[in-house]
Order: sequence, then C-alpha cells, then structure tokens
Amino acid sequence: MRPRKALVEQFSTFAQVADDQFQGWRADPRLKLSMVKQLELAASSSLDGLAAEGGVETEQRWALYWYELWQSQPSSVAKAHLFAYLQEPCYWAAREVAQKYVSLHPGQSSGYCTGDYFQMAMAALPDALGQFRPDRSSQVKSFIQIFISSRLKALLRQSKLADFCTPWALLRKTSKRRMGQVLTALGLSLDQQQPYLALLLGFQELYLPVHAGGSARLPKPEGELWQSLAGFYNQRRSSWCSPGAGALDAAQVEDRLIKMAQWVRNYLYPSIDSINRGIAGEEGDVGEIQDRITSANCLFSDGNNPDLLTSLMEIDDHGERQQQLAEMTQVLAQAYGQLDGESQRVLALLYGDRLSQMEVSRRTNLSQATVSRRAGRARGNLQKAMLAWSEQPVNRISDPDKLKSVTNMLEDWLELYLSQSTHD
Amino acid sequence: MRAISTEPLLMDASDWLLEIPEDLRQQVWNRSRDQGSPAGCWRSYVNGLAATLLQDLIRLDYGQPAVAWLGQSQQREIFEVVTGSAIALGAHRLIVIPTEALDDDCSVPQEWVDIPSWKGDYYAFVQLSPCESYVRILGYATHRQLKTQGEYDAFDRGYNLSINQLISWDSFEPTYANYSADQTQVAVEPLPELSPAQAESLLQRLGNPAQVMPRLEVPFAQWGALIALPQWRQQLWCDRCGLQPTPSRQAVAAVTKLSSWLQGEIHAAWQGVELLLGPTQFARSNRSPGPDSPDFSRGHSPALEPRSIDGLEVRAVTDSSVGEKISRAKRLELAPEVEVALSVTMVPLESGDHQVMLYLDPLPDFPRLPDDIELHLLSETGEILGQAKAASSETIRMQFRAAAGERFDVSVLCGEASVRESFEI
Repeated sequence: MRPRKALVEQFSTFAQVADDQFQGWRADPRLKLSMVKQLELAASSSLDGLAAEGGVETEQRWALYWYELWQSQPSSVAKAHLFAYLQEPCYWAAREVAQKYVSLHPGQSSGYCTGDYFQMAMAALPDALGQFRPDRSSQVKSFIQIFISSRLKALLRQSKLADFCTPWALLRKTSKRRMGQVLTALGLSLDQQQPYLALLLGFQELYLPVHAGGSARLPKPEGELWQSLAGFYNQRRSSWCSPGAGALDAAQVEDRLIKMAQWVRNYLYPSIDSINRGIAGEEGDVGEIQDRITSANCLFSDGNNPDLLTSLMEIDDHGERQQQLAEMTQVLAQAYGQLDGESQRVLALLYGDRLSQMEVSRRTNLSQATVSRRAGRARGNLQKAMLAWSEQPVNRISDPDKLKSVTNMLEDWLELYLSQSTHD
Repeated sequence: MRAISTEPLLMDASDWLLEIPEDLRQQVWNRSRDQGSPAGCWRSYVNGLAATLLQDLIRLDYGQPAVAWLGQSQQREIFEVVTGSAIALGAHRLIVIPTEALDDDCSVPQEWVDIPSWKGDYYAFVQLSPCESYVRILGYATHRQLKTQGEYDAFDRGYNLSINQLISWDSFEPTYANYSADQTQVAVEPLPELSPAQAESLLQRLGNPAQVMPRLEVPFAQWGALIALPQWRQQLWCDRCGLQPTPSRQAVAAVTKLSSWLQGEIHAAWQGVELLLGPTQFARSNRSPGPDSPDFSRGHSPALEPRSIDGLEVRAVTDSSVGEKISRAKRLELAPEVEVALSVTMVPLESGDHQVMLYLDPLPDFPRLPDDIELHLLSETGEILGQAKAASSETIRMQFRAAAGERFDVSVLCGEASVRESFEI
C-alpha cells in the first residue's frame, strides 16, 4: 500500500482493493476541492496547528476537526473526509484478518478475499467512529484498526462457530438482540418482529440439551415441542405482540423456526453486495462548513477532567505531552521487564509479531486458553504500574468505566513497544 | 465430530478464554440434574460452569477471596426462574451472567439490577462456547453503567449493553477493590412489601409449571418483591416442581445465623455448652481468646496452620475482641450409636469481623470421639476450606475469622456417615 503524504490526498482519496491486492488511490474530486479550500481558509485565519503541513500532528488535528464536525453535522462532507482519512486502518485490519484466517484454517476458504474484508471494514466504520472518544483514546487510526480488526474477527468467528451448530442449536445460541438485527435487516418493522422474538424466547426456554457438551448438535425437536411452543406463544401473544398477531398452530410454529434459523445463518454470511453501499462520498454541503472552521480551536481546549490519563490526551503543550508519554513508556517498559519470561514471550508474539492467540499457542505449546490468561494477567500487571505511575490513587479515576481508556492505551503501547523491540 | 477445543479460534489478542476441563463439565452437569424444571436444570448447568470458572480464576490465579452468595439449594430456586449468580469478593459483589449466544450478547436480567438485595457492584459477562469446552469472558460493567448506559428492554426485562461498552477483564483484578459502592452502584427503587395474601395469590398463579416464564407474567415490582424473599422463592420452586416443602427439606435449607444469637434468637437445638457437655468443657469454652492466649488448654491437632484460605481467614486473632462472646452446642447424630457435640463460639472483634471457634467433643456418655472422625469447614458451594482430625480422639478444634454476613458450612464425617450444618455470621 503506497503511503499518502499530502494532507489533501489523505482526506480526499479512497483505497482501491480488488481481490487480494491494493490497486491504488482513487481521488474524489469533490472532496479534494473541499479539502483545498479548507486548507486555504486555515492558512488565512492562521489557525494554530491546522494550517501548515506539519506531519503527523497536523494530520491528527485535521482528523479530529472532521470528527468533531461530523459529530455535530452528521450529514456533512466531514464524514467523507474522515472515511477517506481512515482508509489505512481499514485496509490493514482487512489484510490482517485475511492472513490470519488462512494461517488458522489452511486450505479452507472463508469465501472472502481481502477486498471483501475491506468492504466489511468500511461498513463497520460508522460503528467504530461511534465508539471513538477523542479524549480517551490515543490515535484515531490505531483505535479504528483495533476496533475493526476485532469486529471482523468476531464476524468470522461467529460464522465459524455457527458452522458447528445445527439449525436448532443456532436458534438457542442467537440472542434476542441479534434476532432483532436479523429481522430488521430483512425489513421487518418492530411490530412485525414481535411474534418471531416471542417464538425465539419460548423455543430457548422449552428446547433444552439433554447431555453435557451437546448443545451444538441439538437434533430436530419432536412434534410435541412444536405443540408446547404453539401453546406458549398463543398464551403470551396478547402481552408480547400487537393485536394483529394471530394464533399459530404447531406446524406454523415449526415453519417459522426453520425460517428463522436460515435467516440467522444468512446474516452471518453477508453477501458483499449487501454491504457495498453508501460507503463514501455522501452528499454534504461544502460551503456551510467553511464558516465553522473558526471553531476548530475549541477542539483543543481543556476539558475539566481530573483523571490524569484522560487529561494526558488533552495536554495542549506538545512538549509536555511528549514528556508525559515518554515517562509512561519508561514506566511500562520497566514493568514489562519485571514480567516473567513466559508472559513476556506471549506478549511479544501477540503484539510484537501480531500473531493470533492460536498461533502463539502452537509456538509455545500452551493451550489457547492459557495464552489468553497469561496475556491477560500480564496486561493487568502493566495496568497496575500505569495506574501507580499516574501518582493518583487508583480510585481517583472516579468512574470504573474510564478504565477502558487505560486498556486501549496499554494495547497501543504494547504494539508499538513490542513491534519495535522485535524488529530491532 | 471435531472437538471445538482443538478448533482454532480467531480471537483478539486481548480476549480472555478459560478452558472447561472435561471432569468439571461432567461434575457440574451431574449436580445440575433434578434441580427443577428442564430449563431450571439447564440454567443451573450453564451458571454452574460460568461461576465456578470465574470463582476459581479469582481465588487461584488472583489469590483473592471469592465465595458464592448462595448455597446450591437456594441457588437452584433462582435458576428455576432466572439466570445469573452472585459471588462475594470481600466487601464487593460480582454478578456472573452467562450467555450461550454466539453474538456477544450482554444482557442482564432486571432481577439482578433492580432487586436491592440482589444487585452487585460488578457484572461479568461469560460466553459459553458451542460445545461447552471453554468460556470467554466478554468483559465486565458496573451496576452504575447498566443503569445509566444500559438499554432497558421491556420485552424480556433486561438491561443491555454492547460488548464495546464493557470494561476489559484485564482491569478487574488490578482495580475492583478500589471502588466503593457509591462509585459502582446507583440507588434502585425499593420494592413494595407484599402481604402474605398477595404473595399467596402470586404463588398460586406463578407456581404452576405451565407458566413457562413466570418472571414476565406479573409487573416487575410484584415479581421482584416475591422472589427477593427466600421463603417465597423456596415455595415457588417447590410449587413448580410439584413438591411440598417438607420439614426435612427446610432443615437442609436452614441456616444458623450466628449474629442472631447475640440478640438471643437461638434455636432450641443449640443448647448451652454446659448443659450438653457438663462443666469441664464449659470451662474451656468460657475462656477468653485473645492475642495473649491464642491457644486453648484443651483440644488437639488443629490441622490448620494460620493462613488465609478463601473467604474465611483461618488464623490467630490479631485484633481485640469487643462485646460478649457466645457459645452454644448441638448434638449431632452421625449414626444410631454415634453421637458427638458440635460447639460454636463466636466473638465479635473490634474490626467488625468475628472470631469463630468450632469444637467437636464426645458427649458425656461417650469416652472419646470415634477414631476416623473429621471436621470439615466448607464454603457454601461445598468446597473444602479446612479440615481437622483428632490425634488423641479427645477434641477437634478449629478457629477462623469471618466477616459479617459471610456464609460457611461445617461438615462432620465419620466413615460413611456425615452431617452438615450451614452458618451465616
């Protein structure tokens, strides 16, 4: 993948990925024009940080700028700029997942190529950005890459696990929430979904595995089950469904459940055509935004968050921020050095070589579960060091919810630190 | 069919997996049979796996205390109607929510969030793999998060989070103890108090096993008020299983609440020590324990070294006693000709904990304890926390320290025979 250097290019071109190859950057003329104008405006109003071609820092500030604008004006051109900017993390996540799949399942095809994964990654971008918190995460690109790679893995894992399941098992292993997503994707209104959701919950309560370890291979239920399920449904119908939902007999119930299982399976193997829509270049009013550039300064103003790790992300002073980061890195490097050899090895393979847990398990002769546990505890120890370094008692991070940012930062750091040290 | 445990799984570097050993799976499965309706048994199995693995992780890997909130017999009454279980971690409470869904579902039944006596500080989401060969810890959330960020779904009465909203399990061990309840929890509406007549009418309706999901049949406030109380929960379970609560079953479920002794509420089975054993033993049990006299004049072979095991600390007293201590003894019949006396002495300590001393003595008619007798201290899930045998067969003694509200069981074994007593501080 050829790196994009100029700011204009970074915010106005899209990656072309066909099959397993990166083909090149396609410029979007409208976005290009918009970006050029924004840069001119920034230069004339001499906004600190946005004007000059100042490398990574400037690039990130522009990303944040579009991000904030997209938050306040979701339908503006900001989204397209942001999507253009985030092509690399989508591409790298797609490539990583494609390669890991091949390495884990040699000789088996997932049915998708890198290009397909890339489309899925782009489709996941709005969700990923929805989770991004500029004040909590470090770099938007690494956040997006981790999020999307995790999303793609979850998709593949779920469809792989579903392969083990009979239709009846799959229905037991589908949450009400997921069933709702499946039905929504099929175009059913909430009212229309209720009877199906009622049947799903009833089925899960009534059709149970009869021996340990057998829940994936559940056989087709006997006729009696459909009878009881119909009874359950007809009894619950009045409280769960809108008045229009009629009574069902056993055969209708069975019929519906069979369809539902098929729908769930189809949902787990999305066709690329269904994903490939509305990804970039949505219409937005370019002119309107130009007035807003003056508000860019407020992006970088101080929030009043007392948590050090949070305020770390908000430190305006470049030097101070760098120093804090350097200190933290030192503390983490020291804590890493104190981990036992096996934990270090596991972390180095996971984050430095970016191997999957399963690959690490093969290399170390530990089970995958042991690898995950070892790594988890090691990360826990690094977190302890990080929290201790912040010189505030841990409980000063007033909300446990904020620990998520600590976890994110730590994973970023591990990747950076260990990929450097393994490649030195 | 391939075993899924050998199937490569595409996981994130940060995913937490715990293997389910084959023998544990079978053991939990066997224990889950005949616990109620088929759905109740299944929930008992799934929850049993999730809670056991998490409890073991916390206890063995983290070296932290982790004790199940309820014993098996009370827990099954909950599994009959709703999923989830609670683990006490010292002063903190962790609710374990298992999920079978492949889709990373994070939904907590309303009962665990809105019943004041059920809610916890933390909620861990544990996903069971399709072939039940491992679990994946999806992450955890606080009660506060569930109430403020969770999406309440009235359809099946649950609080939903997305997996992205969860805190990584990595953070649990380093930080869980640092947060106070007002950081992890928010206040919930108190539930109405049901009159016995109201409860009876609810039980009549919901006790019918034809009601497949009793938890959704009546407004939540009424339902919550009903199952918040152990006796009605038990009644509901019995009704749904077609059983009458028999005295013997009640006896199994009965827990001796030691702090009630201090208020004078003592069951007739627990007599004064002197009354049961005569003055000699009484003199022993009347001696004041404390830092100056950590040992007792009588008794032998405490097999327990002073050390901390599980939720109960088995060690010598280090803080001074405050308030009155209290001792009582009970006659235990192990076999028609084998009877012993179990005495319990409890001393409230300055720290708010209690020093508990257990004695197993021969009754005055018996010269000595049977040779093969053993005293076991168990967590309420049945895990052995400590055991002692009598070297000279005269007296077995065990002492430990427990926090208010803590539960433990004492089991006396002799050959094939055994008697178990449940206690709560």
